[in-house]
Amino acid sequence: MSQYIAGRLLAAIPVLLGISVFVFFMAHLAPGDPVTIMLGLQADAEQMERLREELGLNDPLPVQYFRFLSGAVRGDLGRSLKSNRLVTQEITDRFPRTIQLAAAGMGLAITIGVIAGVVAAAFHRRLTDTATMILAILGVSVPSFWLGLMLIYLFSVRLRWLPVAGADTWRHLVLPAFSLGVLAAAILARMTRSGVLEVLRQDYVRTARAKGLSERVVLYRHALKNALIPVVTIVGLQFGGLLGGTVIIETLFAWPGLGTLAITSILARDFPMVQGIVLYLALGYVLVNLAVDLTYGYLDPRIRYRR
Amino acid sequence: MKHRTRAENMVPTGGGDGTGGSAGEGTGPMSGVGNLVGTAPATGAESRARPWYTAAARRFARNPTGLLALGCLLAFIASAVLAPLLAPHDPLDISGERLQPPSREHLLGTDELGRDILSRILYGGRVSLQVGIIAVVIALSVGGVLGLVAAYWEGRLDGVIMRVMDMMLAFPGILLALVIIAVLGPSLFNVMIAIGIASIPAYTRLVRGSTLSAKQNEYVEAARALGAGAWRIIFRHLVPNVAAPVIVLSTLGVAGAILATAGLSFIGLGAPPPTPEWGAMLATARNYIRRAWWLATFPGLAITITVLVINILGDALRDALDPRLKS
Repeated sequence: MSQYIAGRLLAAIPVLLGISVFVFFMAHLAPGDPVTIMLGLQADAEQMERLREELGLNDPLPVQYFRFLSGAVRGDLGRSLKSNRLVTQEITDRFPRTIQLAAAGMGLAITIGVIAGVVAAAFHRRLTDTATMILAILGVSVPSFWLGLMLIYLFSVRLRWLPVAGADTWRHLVLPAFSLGVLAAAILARMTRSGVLEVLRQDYVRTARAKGLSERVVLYRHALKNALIPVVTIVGLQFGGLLGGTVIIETLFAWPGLGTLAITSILARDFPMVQGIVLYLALGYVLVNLAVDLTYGYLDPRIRYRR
Repeated sequence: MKHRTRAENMVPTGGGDGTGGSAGEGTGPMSGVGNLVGTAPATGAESRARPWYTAAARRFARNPTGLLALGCLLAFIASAVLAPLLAPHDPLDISGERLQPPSREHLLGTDELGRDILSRILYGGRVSLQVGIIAVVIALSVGGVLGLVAAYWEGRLDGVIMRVMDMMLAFPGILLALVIIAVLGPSLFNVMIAIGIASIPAYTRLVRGSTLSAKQNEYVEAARALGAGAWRIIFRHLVPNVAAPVIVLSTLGVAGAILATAGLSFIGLGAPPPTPEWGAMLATARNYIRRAWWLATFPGLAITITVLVINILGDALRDALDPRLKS
């Protein structure tokens, strides 16, 4: 197992390096000169040249990249062009909020999705199954932000049960987390259902039934555990979509996380900030998938010993 | 990374668990796309058999839900094309009082400037369908060629292509599109390009996986023995094999692209203000949610119904193209 963990960790390194290259060149490909953004258009040439030299923008690109990388490894991502605050500072202020939102959304998605999937499979081809699957396809078709908007209208404007926006108490978390989680819940419901149905066709399930075990015991004791293994992978992949989705949901609910920061930074062409945010989100995604891979290896020994 | 290994192992398993969720914008019901690989076209053995699509078309014709979805989609396309004839008002003109609820004159009400919402939704359909289709065409043509090339020549080129794809896949969902927009600047055109580029890896992986298995067919060997060139083999013998799963992924991809476009416009990175675009309409609607529910309701319904219909169509196509998935 420890060999497996080490292998997975090593495999993540080139991906992270790749991301850093991508993020670095993204900022350099972009039109717009950072010096002009910082000093404004009326700055004189000498002043601009001095700042350029100071920021190291006159060095060759590979040199700049390695400076960026070594800074990033030491937790230095430069300063925001807009607020002049440290990028890492601003991000660490806001990242917990985004994680909180994403975790709540994923928690809801797993709970709803897995239960709905199991129920649908247990009532295969009956009304419950059909109804669940109709809800699931609706869930993947509805834009999260519109669902959120409708929930705001219903629960905040009409019923006045929950706040419209903000992030002070758990009541602020309910609507954004739900809107964010619906897509993943719908996908998980479909995956869980097909996973359970697939397992129910296996020989050992037939054997269990032939032994005279009740359908309930067959489902919960024999089928479910194995059916959920592929679901774990999907959770990891969906987490990425969820992290991306926070950008939109945070805007809708005025949630003070990385997403809202990302949009203001993109609109202000504040590239050090955008770089930092992208790096953090991608890192979060890679780490979650690493965790999923490890869980997967734990759940299914065949995976650990392959290769 | 795991993505690549999975693409290599894309052997039909019959379950619905595919790699779908990871594809493109994390759109949705792509369950089982991977399972189609190399299954549908059975033309290898009997060379003069009917082409694979006639059987698929017959299966599709027996699916009432799929036919209904296709009919709805055609109707939506027609309403988008005919928007200038159908729309009761000019989508940019102030044609009534501000924030009027639905009435005889304005069936879906008016917006914060007094523009007719129905007309704006009809014109918005043009934007959404156009962006959705073009984004998928970009992703499909670039991703498809990369996948074919990677699978046909394998070796180092394959390694390089797939490493780059792995890197792109390391960016969660819409984030990659966001990065591209950050570079190109916010506009509807750039949204289209961004979503297209961000969806490339999904197509590359799918096409590569299907091509790798199609390459094993003996007729490919035979074609090569007869002296056929690489590109002739690729386009005559490999592409038809890859078509079935790609059709499904592309259909679902249009739905995903429409959702992504609306989302990006909603956060102000897509269509600029006067454009009648569904996501942008919802962005202003948010500010009037207390006073005017119709502003937020109808554009959202338009997105949901369009995407729903395309998703249902995609599911039906998958059932028709890969009968083995139907238990």
